[in-house]
Amino acid sequence: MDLTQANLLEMRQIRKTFPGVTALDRVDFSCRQGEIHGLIGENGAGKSTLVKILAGAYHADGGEIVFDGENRRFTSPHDAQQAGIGIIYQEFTLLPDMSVADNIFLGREILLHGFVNHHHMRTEALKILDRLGGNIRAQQLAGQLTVAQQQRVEIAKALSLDARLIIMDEPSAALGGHELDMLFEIMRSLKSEGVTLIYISHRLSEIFEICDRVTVLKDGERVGVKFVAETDESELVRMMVGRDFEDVFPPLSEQANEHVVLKVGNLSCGEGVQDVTFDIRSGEILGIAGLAGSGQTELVRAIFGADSEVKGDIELNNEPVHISSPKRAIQAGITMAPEDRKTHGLLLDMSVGKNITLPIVKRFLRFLGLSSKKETETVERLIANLDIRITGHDQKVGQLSGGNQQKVVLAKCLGCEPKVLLLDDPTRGVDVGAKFEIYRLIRDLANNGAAILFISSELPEILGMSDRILVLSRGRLMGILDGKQATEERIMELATGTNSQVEAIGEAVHHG
Amino acid sequence: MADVEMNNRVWSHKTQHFFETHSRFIIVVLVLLSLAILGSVASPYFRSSRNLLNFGRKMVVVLTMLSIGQTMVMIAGGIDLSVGAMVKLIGVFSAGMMLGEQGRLIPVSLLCLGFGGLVGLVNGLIVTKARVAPFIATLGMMSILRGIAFGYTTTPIGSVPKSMRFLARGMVGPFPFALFVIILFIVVACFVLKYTRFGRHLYAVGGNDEIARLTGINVDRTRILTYVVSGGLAALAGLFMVSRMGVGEPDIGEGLELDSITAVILGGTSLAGGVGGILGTVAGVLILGLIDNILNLLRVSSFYQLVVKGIIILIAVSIHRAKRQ
Repeated sequence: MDLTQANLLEMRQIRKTFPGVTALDRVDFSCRQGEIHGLIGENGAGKSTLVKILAGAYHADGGEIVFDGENRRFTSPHDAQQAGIGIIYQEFTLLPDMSVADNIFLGREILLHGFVNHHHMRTEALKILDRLGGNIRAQQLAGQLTVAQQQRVEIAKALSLDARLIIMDEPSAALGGHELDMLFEIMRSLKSEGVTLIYISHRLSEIFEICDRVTVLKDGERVGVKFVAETDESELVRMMVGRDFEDVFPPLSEQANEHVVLKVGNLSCGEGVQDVTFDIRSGEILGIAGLAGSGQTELVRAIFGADSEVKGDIELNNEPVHISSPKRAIQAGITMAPEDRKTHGLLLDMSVGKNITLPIVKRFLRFLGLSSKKETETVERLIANLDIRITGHDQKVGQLSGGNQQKVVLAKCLGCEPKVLLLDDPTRGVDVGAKFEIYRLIRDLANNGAAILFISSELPEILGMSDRILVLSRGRLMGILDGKQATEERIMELATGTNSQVEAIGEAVHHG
Repeated sequence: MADVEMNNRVWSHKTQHFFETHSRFIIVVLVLLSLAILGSVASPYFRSSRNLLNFGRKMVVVLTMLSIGQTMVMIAGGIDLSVGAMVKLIGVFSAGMMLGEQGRLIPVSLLCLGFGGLVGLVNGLIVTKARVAPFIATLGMMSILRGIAFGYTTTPIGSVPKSMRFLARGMVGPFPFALFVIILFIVVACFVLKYTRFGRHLYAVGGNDEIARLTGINVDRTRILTYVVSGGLAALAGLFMVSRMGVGEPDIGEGLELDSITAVILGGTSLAGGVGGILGTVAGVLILGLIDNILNLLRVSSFYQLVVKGIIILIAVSIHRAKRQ
């Protein structure tokens, strides 16, 4: 890259506050003409806020933007578009009931004598789409496209502006390997045409693959700017998190506890779970691994009584129990933190305190109404234990960051004082710092005697956290590994069934 | 041989596609046809030209005008409950001010249209700037307009100049003049939805207003404009109504807001916004009109007609919901 190139964009001392939070605190950010500039940071570091200000979707409280040598102030998305700034949002902005061409030119329809010229719009849209490839027709409804195709339409939208600067807010989050390569190809060709790109991603490997420079944000402040050629992953992580990446996971439990808390025998539930048998001891974290959709979620839901048609035996503290509903599960001492906290775990419009005590509200019932003093005490104890950062327990859960929301889910579970805790991907969509805290919390719970079933979509997490690892494939138990000896390869062998021994079992099942 | 088979397959694929994309339209046509047959069977008088003329004058013209405005408001995700009250108010105001004098026809008409647009503007501002839900905002406006109308008069008042009666009663050859007016309005409205920025933006705003905003559309302005159009058309419908009645009748306009909403929903426009069109609404108006007409011919009491209409709107919305899921 030509280092003498002038800055196309300079954002100086940008400030932005939302009620109760400083999202950006005097952030400087600049891009050179024709570079691909990475923007990274934990969730809540202010990346999206920064680019939204640049795109005119938010208004900065202070600071200035110099674009192409001119001092600009974008009061609406329209302003920014006019200046030649296109943005591809993390959540796509296509209208499913509208055609691709209409979507591309939405808000900037091509007119002929004052009226919308559909024909011209279609041919223009086709021209741009051809440049991007991907076999998309201009008349197609946007809702019928695949995610990767929709993203191309988003890019086409930005190109139709003749944008000189295109911002991509986590475009890779929804893409697979091959689609990601195609995206990078498009980005490189845009770069060769002189377009400047700002690329936001959580995945550091992508930053190293595609970006020239990278800016790191942390807690609404700029930590630094690096040439990717002069830095490495661990330095960037250190900048993002403010500490080293080592010692992420708390130590496994030292001595094995012999007391079996939960015993599951021949558990089956529809197609998802077939004939699974295992047990879990007090103080143990049992990781559940497998390829996506191998029955992990179904297994914990079956134990929790969330699905009907469950067959098999469950013993709790050596006594058989019949769990027909989540209510019975909670009464028996089993609680679950569901996979999707926003739809299954929390009532976003309700206060933190009310969410936490929702399952145990009965405890505070008195002759007349609720004992609010007792409830408050419980809530405060849990909030302090889990270090949930809020302005007060009447704050709405929807206003919290992902990490804090997840802690509220955990608090809700702990309020029930469970003997068995089912955690379904508890660190999903949570930033790095909060992940570390959640790991520590989970281990503390185990050390206090709870038996924990732990699902994660990230294999390193399972390996780091689990005392034993149960591997599923297509709803069947493929094996249980010791956490200290397990490796990523060994788990994948079992999960994919590439191991010869497993194949043999599979064969036997087929023919038997 | 193989070619024929191939052609057949292409053809059947195409028909299938046609049925899938136009399923709503086909259903509407079928409903209209069966209603027409039902009408003919129910009363020999149904097919007489006098009945058809009557039918057109009485319901369809006024309701189509209201429903065109209502369609635009609803595509953009809103609702306008004040249109019926607007018809009432304009009805009494215009007759009361014209007092049968030819010279006052044009100034009073313009005043009325301006008033309608202004009320729409106020509706739009309350909805967008004060962030009051459209249902509540226009419900309040409905109450205000009704109150003013009944405060102005509770008995028939004034009259319109003879020339104005041509609007509703005039004939061009065998066809009523109003028919041409309404066709013109339908064509213009279709054109606006398809070929103007405002029309395209309605769908975006109703489909997802945050996306519309991020795309650079002035969401508030688009929304406000729908209420202005709706208010203006409602005022025009009021003038039309009074030209038919000849005097300012304070009892008119009752329930027209619900009729227009029913017509729009019957026509396939989504209550949630973002989907719909004028032709569907016109079909909805025709369905409502036919049902009305048939029930009248069968001498069903007007109270039970309300019951039938209520049932129809409930069924239409449930079908809609089911389809969405």
